Amino acid sequence: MGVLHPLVIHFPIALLLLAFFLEIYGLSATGKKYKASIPLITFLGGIGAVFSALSGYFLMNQGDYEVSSVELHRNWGIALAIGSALLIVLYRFPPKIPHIHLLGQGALSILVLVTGHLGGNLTHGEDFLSLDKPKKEPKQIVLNQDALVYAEIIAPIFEEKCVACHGKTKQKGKLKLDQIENVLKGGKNGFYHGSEEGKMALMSHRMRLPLSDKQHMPPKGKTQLTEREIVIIEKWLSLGARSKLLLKDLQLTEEVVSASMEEKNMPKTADWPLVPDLAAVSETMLTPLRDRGMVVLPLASGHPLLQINCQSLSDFSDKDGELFKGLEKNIASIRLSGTRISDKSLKWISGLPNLSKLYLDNTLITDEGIALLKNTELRYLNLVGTSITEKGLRTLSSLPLLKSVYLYQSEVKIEDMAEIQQRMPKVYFDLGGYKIDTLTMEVRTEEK
Amino acid sequence: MNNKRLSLAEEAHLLDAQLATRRLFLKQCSMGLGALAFSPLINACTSESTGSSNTLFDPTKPLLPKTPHLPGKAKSVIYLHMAGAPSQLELFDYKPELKKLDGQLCPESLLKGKKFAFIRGVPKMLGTIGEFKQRGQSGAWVSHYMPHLAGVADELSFLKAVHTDQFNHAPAQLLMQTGSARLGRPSLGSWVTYGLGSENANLPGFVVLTSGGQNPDAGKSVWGSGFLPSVYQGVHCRSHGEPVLYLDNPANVDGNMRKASIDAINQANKETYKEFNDPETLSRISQYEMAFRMQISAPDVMNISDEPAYIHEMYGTEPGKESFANNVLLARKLVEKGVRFVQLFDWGWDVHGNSTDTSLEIGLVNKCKQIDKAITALILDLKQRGLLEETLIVWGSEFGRTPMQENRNGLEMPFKGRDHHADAFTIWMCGGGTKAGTTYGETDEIGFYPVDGKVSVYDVQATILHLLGFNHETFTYPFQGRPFRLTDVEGTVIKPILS
Repeated sequence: MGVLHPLVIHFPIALLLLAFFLEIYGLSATGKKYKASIPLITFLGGIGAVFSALSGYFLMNQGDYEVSSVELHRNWGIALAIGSALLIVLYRFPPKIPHIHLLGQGALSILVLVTGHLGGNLTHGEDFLSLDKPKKEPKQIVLNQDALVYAEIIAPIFEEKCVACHGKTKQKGKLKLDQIENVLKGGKNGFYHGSEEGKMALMSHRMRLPLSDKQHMPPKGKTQLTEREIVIIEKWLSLGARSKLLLKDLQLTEEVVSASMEEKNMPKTADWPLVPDLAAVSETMLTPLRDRGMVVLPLASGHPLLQINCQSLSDFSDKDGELFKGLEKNIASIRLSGTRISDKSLKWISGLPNLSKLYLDNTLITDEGIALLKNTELRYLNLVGTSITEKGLRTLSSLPLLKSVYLYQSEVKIEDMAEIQQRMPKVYFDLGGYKIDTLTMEVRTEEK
Repeated sequence: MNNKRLSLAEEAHLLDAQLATRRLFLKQCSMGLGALAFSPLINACTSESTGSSNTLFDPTKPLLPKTPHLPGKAKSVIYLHMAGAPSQLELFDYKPELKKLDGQLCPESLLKGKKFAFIRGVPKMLGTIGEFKQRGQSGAWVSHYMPHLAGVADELSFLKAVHTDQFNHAPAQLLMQTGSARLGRPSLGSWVTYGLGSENANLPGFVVLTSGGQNPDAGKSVWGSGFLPSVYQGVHCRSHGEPVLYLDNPANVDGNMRKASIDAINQANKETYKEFNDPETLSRISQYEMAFRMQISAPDVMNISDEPAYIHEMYGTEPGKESFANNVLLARKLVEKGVRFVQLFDWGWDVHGNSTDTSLEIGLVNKCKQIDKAITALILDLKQRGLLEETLIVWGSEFGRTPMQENRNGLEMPFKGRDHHADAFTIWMCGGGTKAGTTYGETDEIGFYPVDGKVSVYDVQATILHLLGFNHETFTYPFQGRPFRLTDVEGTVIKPILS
């Protein structure tokens, strides 16, 4: 019976408001002819109101709602049911008071509107009508390993995606997720699910059910939890759901932690610097570069960092460095392969604070130029086909983030590499010049 | 990435514009009285209202480089497709148990409800002929069929439990390359060039090279553009003689004359565009211009004989011959120059065992010889140039082979061979943001079904798109009133093989 409440209430709302409207319309000459239908409409609306009140009473007793929050709606609803019954009587036995029906209908309409609004607040949340609702920014989980898991990560997730139905005003399945004590209490089925050995939190079980399953939570059609949110909540529940757990206690894999980077449009691993405060460059600033023939692209759409490719420009030389003025902070990768730049260009290149990838292959740069790079945050350096020697390589040892250096067809000798590798143990150096000995396969000729 | 829906009206307009003949007819009709009333309607439809066209497709610069959703690790792809399906049980999927079962009749339980392309009745189990060893630090299993590749096993990420739902070559190839076993969908390379454009304006963004004497069974649709604008279809270069036909100037025509004639053609095309507004006309103009630029750039890039001798030695190439090795070397040159997607098809891997060429003992050895050293050289060559980090190499086929020996028409075959098998086969990837030296997925004791890490064709496609920076779920193209994706409604990125 209670489930019918949201359906039934629409009848009194529509019918009683219509009756009031017809009553007003009836004051004019053209509207007179509808007057005869008003008692019937009021009668139907009144029955609807009584049924609504009844079904509402049952719904309330199912226990999904906090009694205190429903009280007001309940009282107005009862008043409405009684009021409409009275009005039906007034049509049956009209007293000799001018406009008594009009006044009665007006009063009833006020009751309808107030009751309806209070009911709406219960289902959709208190603020569902306010226009200047603060727009909810998708919450980013702060990746501080010392963060309190419940207070800083999980509570906001519950707040955003769960408490509308499992909170103070409404407790579907008697579950409340507004406070940690209530989380641990669980709902009408308790906190745990399954037998002793396969015991897990019921919540973990529900979150993992397929979306099509009726018991899946959050229900189909509501905002779903992301995979990462599920993993964090699951882990936290399995460790006893204590309030003092820190993010590092969960020992999440890097994959889970970095998933938030993906959401933020940031690279997964440290291929690129994190630049949360950097603004993207306007397209007009890039026009001169593109007109010069360079390929200039953000790392990802909307990303402030740029990758620049000058590879196809055989006439690109030192003086073209001018073109990059004002873009210094935004350049993350620059490919100068086969251009006519010399050591002079490395002056402006070394002033790029976010430069991570640098291709200098097949250019005229020397050890002297390379030495200028010592204060950069380079991760990738391509020196294929240059006259770099081990002397230049040594100057790279101050680069904290350097990951790979390519030295094929350079002047670096293999015998110096042992020492250089020792100085920079984390860096991958590739001298190239691979040879593949032709191996043979035995062809078996035995036949059946 | 701007990927709003193209409204049905806009799409209809595009289609309409393609039907130039009908447009002409109506235009002539508008002389008549009835059409007089009708013509404003027509004009309303053809007015230049498609300025806000919201796909990634810019008809004047269809191959302009574009940015993906996320910072991708791979910038280009070399896809090595072994058409015909090599035997994973001889090359990578080591099954010692199967060897013990060699010659025994296949148990009924395995055959129940299964359909095979050629196996009839009860076949015999066929033990692996490959001599397997665990290679490198990663301990990946590679057999003696691939002695060179075994040396770089630590660079590869194996997917050992890929499955498909097609067991015939053409539909399976279509599914692998276009995401649908039926014709009409754009190929992977087309999607990628549509989404990323090309960094080299003088070369096509998507190049196809074939070897092995035949095109793949599914024909040219495996590199077709489907419903994407035709400019994104793969450019099939010939692997011997002129790479692209008629790129050279004809006798007695010099560059200036050629330029003048292309200008004249483009002028005519521009007039046509003004009249009919078909964006494909603009693509045509840009294609002519690119062809002209390719006259200068292509012969240089396409010519592998300029490479030094030790590179030829490394790849095992012989310039002038049609061979897989030549194509592999060419692929490296193209990727180095900024070509986005290079698709290689090598024909002749259909090891049924009905002739010497299709036998596991001889035919497969010869096929492996043709690719083994060349692929190894490609990996090492890209690596030493610092390009392997950003170039994704994919090796695979449309399906795998059965653990049973084929018994075509219920008869014993002259050679050892295996039938088509859709439930489990091996694909590997290398570079471009994959985790080197991993093996993901496992098949049962005889290599019949996946038991762990089962991945679908869509998962493989989603992973390739992910490595390039795409979210495969939002990378769509509006067609027939709804957005289409490569992976349709499926696909999960295979995270364990990502670096």
